[in-house]
Amino acid sequence: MPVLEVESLEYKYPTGVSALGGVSLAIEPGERVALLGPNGAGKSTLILHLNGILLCQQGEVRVDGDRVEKRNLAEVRRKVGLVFPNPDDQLFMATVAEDVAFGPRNMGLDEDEVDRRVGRALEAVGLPGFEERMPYHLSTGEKKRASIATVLVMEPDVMVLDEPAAGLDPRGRKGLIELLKGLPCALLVATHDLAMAREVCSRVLILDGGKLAADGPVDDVLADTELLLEHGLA
Amino acid sequence: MSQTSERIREPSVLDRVDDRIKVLCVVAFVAAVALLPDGAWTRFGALAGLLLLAYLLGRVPLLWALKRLPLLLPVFLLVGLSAWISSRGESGMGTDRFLSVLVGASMSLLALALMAYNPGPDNMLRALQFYFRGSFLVTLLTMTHRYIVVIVAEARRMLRARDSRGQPPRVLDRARVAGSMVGYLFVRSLQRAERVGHAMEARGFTGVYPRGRVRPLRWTQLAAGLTFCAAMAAVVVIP
Repeated sequence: MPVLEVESLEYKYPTGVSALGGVSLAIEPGERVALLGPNGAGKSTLILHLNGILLCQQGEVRVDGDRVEKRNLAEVRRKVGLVFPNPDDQLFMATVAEDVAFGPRNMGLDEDEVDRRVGRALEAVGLPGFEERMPYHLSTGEKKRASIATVLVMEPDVMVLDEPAAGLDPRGRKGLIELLKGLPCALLVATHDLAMAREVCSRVLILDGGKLAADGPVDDVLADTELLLEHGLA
Repeated sequence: MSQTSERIREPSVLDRVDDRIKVLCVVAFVAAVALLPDGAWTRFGALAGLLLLAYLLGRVPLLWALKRLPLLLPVFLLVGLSAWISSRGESGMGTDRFLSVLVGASMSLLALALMAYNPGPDNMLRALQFYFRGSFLVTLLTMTHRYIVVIVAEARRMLRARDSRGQPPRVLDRARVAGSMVGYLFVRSLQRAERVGHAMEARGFTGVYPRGRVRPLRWTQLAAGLTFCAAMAAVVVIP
């Protein structure tokens, strides 16, 4: 059974402008999928639907077969983790440890378990010993890693990352790619970085104008120059 | 000690006091100063001596704190004006009130500056969260403290971008540019607030900060704190 399914999802902004026009997709457990598309394609709007930040106007989103609704948001948010593009939006607590512990504490876990998870998550992203550091004193690469830890700590089934490589230098980007390749959960990575998509993912979705324009194996889709040009990706 | 400023110094007597007790004592001190009657100079003097002692015990540079006093200038001007108005017809009362407010506000600010130095803003906010968990005001203060750095950095980038293109020659035009920048910063702050809200919701936030492990207060420290509060109450009540 897919861990995440989107069916005929439509969304209109309050101004009446359509952002998503009937998007359908499914992600299997452990699958790594890149979501490509030009600016304004609707990628971020789609992502906000995946753990119930935006609720469906038309169509539906299912996590582990359960439709995303107000009643099950806590469970949905445990299973689907979002990493936002700007780490300064994601890291809002006074220290890295408090930030990473924010999700597990909201889940109601006891403090021993929270401590264990925080330690494991920081270890996994290569930031052991950063517990008491202030988020705004970290480098951009460290902030990105800490952002991923804040979601990884909730042990999600799917991690959705919006522009994870934005603002990173080549070394930071390379480190991030290695980190993403080693993550244990399914991934949906919204990015403009085609090389990263090729390295991390096995499947690519192209979203343009609020509609899915392509869905296929990464090598096939990225080899289709005409398709990429048509959607402003090359 | 504030980790924000990352000052490195030897631990002082004040460092041995639990941050939550320090916050309690400062709040009691400020309340006592605010409640003292006008012209109670002996009691103002006693409290000022206590404050000075705390500065010495904490090895807090007094000059560093005194530099914060100009923040009170608008308050002084406003109080001075109202004292001048109230003194017309009641000779002497206005001046006494003005001086009392001036001294009281300065002492309160210096007490808060002490708290900003030791335990520092982060620990101070943690202490406030201990007393007022889920309080809107404490949440607001925590967020402000977290994001002030980001907003200042944004403002600096905008100023740099403005300066790189030169300054308009007329003062009016410069004021217009400054106004636009403030407006733009406001809009960006609102947008950031929305994004931060989404990031919090995405991790299960439902409106109340989750409470982490709560370190119990040692009874000796709590007793010392409560004794201090009682002493402050006595200073106010006993003439």
